[in-house]
Amino acid sequence: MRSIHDQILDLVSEVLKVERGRLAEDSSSETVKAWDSLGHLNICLAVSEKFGMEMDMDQIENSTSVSKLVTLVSTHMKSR
Amino acid sequence: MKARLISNVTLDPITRHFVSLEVNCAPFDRYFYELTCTQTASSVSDYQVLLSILEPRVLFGDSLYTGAAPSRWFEYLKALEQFCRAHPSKLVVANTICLPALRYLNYSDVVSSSSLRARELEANQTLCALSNQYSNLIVVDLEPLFRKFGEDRLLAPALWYLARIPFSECMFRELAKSIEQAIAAYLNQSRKVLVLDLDNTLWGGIVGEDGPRGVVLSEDGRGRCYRDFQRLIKATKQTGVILAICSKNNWEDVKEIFERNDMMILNLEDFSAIEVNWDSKPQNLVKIAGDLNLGLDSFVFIDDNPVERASVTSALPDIFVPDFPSKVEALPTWFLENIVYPHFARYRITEEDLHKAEQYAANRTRNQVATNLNPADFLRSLNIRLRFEVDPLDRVSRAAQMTQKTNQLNVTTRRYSEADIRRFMESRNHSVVLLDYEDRFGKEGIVGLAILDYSKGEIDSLLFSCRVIGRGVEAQLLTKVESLFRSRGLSKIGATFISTSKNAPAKKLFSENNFTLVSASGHGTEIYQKELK
Repeated sequence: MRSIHDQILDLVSEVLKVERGRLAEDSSSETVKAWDSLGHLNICLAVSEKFGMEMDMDQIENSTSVSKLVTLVSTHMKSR
Repeated sequence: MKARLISNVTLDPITRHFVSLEVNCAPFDRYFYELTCTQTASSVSDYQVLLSILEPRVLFGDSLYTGAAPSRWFEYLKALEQFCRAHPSKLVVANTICLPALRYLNYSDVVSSSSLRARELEANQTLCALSNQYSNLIVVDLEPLFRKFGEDRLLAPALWYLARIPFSECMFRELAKSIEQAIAAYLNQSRKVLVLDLDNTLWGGIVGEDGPRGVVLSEDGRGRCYRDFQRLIKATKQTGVILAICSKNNWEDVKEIFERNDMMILNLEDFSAIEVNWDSKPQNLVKIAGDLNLGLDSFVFIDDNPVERASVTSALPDIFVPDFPSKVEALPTWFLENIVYPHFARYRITEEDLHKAEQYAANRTRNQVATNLNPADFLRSLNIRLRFEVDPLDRVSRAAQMTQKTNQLNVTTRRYSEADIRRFMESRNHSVVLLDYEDRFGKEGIVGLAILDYSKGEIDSLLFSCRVIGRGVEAQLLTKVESLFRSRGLSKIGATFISTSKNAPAKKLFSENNFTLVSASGHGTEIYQKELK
């Protein structure tokens, strides 16, 4: 199975319509132009659906980079 | 098709989930302005469909906590009505209200006279009444989605309070699907024929081996799964779906199970075409299409056997052949979700839909008579009675349905919505003529349609149901058309034939009725004319 890291990159690339090769661990709302506030909400919707988790308000506000999303999802998967 | 989405909340994430609609979102909370100020909103000409998807909790406002009448909802409905009236050619999609499950009145909400439940019902009834009044308004019901998936999966509280996004990804996906299916149903883009295998499909087991009473078909256990499946198939037939059988079997065994097994819900008369033999399934399906005079792209074929399915899929890719559920208890729900909703969806059910199966059955009897008589004697023996209706406003649905569904005997293949047809009927410059057919075998209902454009002096549309091919009704409708043009003081009629991949049968319609070919383009478009004496 693909790692959580790869799955998140795939998902961000698909939702924001940004080439996969242009995204990396440190990509964030600061570095990717399409990752604006609506783009971020779309990412949160898709992550919640894909990993069957509910993100609370703090998590939505704070998870604005690939690495933070990976940490969040990894923690969720371990706690299941 | 292009669509404009208006809302009172942030619904932008739904746009990713549409397949056939190209959706453009209005700015946040501008729904009222867009509904009422369309003269100034230049964008109204840029789209064909208006999606008005409103979040009920916001529209209900304080009523959610007091049980008072939701005045904002009724103001919204007035604006919606105004838009539907002002723009009859736009398709408008609006959602019903589905309030949260937990309410301040808690256990008393079910019985209290000022309950939210009562308010919700009233609000939705008013919306549905509008849809019956304005044929260009489609209501999409949210309640089935909440029943199926549950509020916990469909609402997104954190996103709601942070960003006014009410729904989860699951809801956006399912809502987009419902909207597209409802629009397809409204436009009559559904398939027409459901072809069924028999053994291990309509019952468990093999009739040739287990015997007509030994198969699994009963009122409890596994047998009930098949029986409920049959009940649903029979109910689907009532909405105008044509049923057919395609099975490798001995006809005697099949006849026996239909006649002797009293657990059977379906009977042989429910099927408009039956192919029970040992030929290949693709061969038999082609034969059924020929018998019914319908294209294979209007077929769905259900068979439990993956090898048969694969042979049909590869030989006849136009037929939709779904995988069969591996667990028999899933059969009834699978049928509704994967077959009926996506392929046989209906928005309004017309009188013709209700009698479709009988019409095809009557046609079979006619064909049997036809093989024994020469053509002229056959026509005389039918005792055909035709009736013309000009601009009948109560037949708008059927007229639109015919322009959407008729492919073969159709000279211009122009597709019209109910709103378009209504506009033609109400316009002084147009007439919509419907041809109603009856003979000694039964009523066929409306089988022909012509749309006349007096300002251009031409026939905009002329089409016939393929069920009446070869019965001489084409000439009679054209005679009626000519008299209508003449009564407007016109001395000649123009007509156009636009070639498509399917309408070859309509190519000779004009020349056979004494129209003169004026010009023909390389793309198969022909212009005709006829002088009126």
